[in-house]
Amino acid sequence: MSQRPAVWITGVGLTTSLGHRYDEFAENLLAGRSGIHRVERFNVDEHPSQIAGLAGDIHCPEGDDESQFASLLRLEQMAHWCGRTALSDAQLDTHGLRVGLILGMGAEWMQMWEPDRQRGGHRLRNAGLDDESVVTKAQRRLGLRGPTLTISAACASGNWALAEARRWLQLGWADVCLAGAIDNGVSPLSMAGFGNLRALSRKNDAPQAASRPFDKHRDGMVLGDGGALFILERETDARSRGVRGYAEVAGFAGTSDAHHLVIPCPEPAQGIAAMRQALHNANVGASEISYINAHATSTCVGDVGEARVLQAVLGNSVGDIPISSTKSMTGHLLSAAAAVEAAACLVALERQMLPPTINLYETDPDCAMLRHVPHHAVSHAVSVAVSNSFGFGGNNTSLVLRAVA
Amino acid sequence: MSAACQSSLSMTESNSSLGMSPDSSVTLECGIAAFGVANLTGELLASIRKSPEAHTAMPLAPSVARHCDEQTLAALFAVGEAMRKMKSTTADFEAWGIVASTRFIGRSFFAQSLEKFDREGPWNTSVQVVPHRSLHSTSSTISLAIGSHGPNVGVGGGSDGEGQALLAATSMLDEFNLPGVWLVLAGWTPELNVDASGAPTEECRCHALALALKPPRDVRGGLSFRIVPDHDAFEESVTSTGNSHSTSWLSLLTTLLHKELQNLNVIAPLCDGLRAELVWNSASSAAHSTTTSDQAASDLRAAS
Repeated sequence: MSQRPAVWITGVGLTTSLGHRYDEFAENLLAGRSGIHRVERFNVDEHPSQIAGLAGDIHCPEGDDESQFASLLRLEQMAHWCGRTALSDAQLDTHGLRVGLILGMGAEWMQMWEPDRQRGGHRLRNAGLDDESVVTKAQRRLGLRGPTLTISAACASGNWALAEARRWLQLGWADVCLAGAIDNGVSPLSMAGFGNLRALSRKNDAPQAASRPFDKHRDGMVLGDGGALFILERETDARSRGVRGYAEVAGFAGTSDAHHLVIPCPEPAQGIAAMRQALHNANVGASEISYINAHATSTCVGDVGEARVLQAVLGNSVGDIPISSTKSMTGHLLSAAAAVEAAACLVALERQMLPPTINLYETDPDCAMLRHVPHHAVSHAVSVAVSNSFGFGGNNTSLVLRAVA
Repeated sequence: MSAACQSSLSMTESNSSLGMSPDSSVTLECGIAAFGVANLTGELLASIRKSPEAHTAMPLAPSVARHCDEQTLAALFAVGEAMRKMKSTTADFEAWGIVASTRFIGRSFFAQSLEKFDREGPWNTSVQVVPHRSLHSTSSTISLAIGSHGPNVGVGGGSDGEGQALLAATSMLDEFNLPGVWLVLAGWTPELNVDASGAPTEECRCHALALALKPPRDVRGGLSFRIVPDHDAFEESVTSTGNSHSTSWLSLLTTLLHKELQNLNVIAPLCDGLRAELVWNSASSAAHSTTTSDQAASDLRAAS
């Protein structure tokens, strides 16, 4: 194909600690509210980290059978709620359409086995009970037809899902795509594992001040759960339907560190490469970026590494282009982080406001070269937003979203 | 890449009034430059875990292999075998992408971890669960072992995920203009059931198939596969056929390649609206017969 068709986002469905609807999420994000609290869903008294940004009860979509919805495991509920509300937001009747469904999920089976076992189930021990994956069930419950994909690049899974959806639409493999990522990673075993890695903040007495990306006194990330799914369609189709376009998925790239399964490479050449390739893919120059949603998880090593990526890519513009980490409010949603941060970029593009990094009181000197947006949202002209997402396994991705006219 | 067929958008009234126009659909094709197979007992898995470089020709530290899931070890073994056939070293794959599809990765270790958590509480929980038992763990470990800086993703994860890996690998090879993509499928036969302590309840073998995919122009002869839009099949089907088609791509591809059944081309549905075609590209003029995946499975059993 010589000319690849532009692809727009025309619908959003999400569930996060900052809200279960796009507008609610946007208002809380721009108000600089923290969604992080002490975990009450299970006993965390003996855990190193006892706080998280939980989405709370997942809502049953209007018109759906509530008892049937209640019987689903939490990850399935997330997929269904986000999918249903995204379809509704895009005003899309999918009858007769090939709807690609792409879910970013890094630990689907572990996140099914653990709660199933808590309910007294035996799926973990008996493979015969693991009949269908979440994506297949979600496709059937949403009444969709078309190709499906479960994809994982750790914390970058959401960016991959959006990129793959764009590709399927450009190839004509689907008429519409529902894509994004969900994660139910706040569980007893997961919190214990991440906690013992010393990756999590132990500021248990001050949950809302615990996630502090780029701050000198950060001590680790805070887990979160939830997710976001998006409707993507070709620009020509969206224009024909006369629906609102949130943004164009303009560019993407992914690379691998090949350095360590957990620790980011101290020489972030591949993070730099991912961001540069994504800008090239979008045909956007570094100085044209209006806003960057950083991956910055509030870990000592990761935040500094990303600051070095940004300095290398932005060059002389590094002090001019505003950067924030919305994980300061949502926590780190693991596989779903990139999808929720893509939603944060849509908020910036749509409202022409920059979401802040809260809890950024004393900037780490190694991150001081960046133009931060501390504490409060600010009004700003946003035409190009970039969302960086890096992850375990040395995954580096960068997604470029462009305002649509 | 060639434009193969035209799709026509079928819209409901609420959408069709907005006049969507037909759009072209694209067939993507990959050539298989080499393949490697793993069919491993528990004993051999333990040996690979102890001395990974001796078995895979990759400089993977035993301290990493010690924590790898068995499916990852099988995947590494299969990639190593394919590399040997290509007479290549890891340096030749620095820019390659990786797509790995495992089935129910980590079942045994996760069962052990939950039991331990119940007994000993959170402070003794292993830190290795997430890095080594997530869907992306296998592709990431291959990336680490061969020093590849191309993209790496895990795909599928359940019993219906192998076809998804074919989609993702062909799309990755095309999208990022890579020199090649490793497509790796792994799983247990029979599927792993475990007891309360995480131990398998019967003897199982861990299988993997690694395919070195390249753009068709870079591969002479051999088997290639195509992802072909199948709009007619989509139109004809009134209800969803789902995406959990019964084709075991690991088994089918392994048998086709291993036995060099060069008289057999296979066409199989991947999902609603797309099919896969496995086609032998031979310099010889030997006649090929084309069959469906179900018939192929039967033929392959007979050939075996």
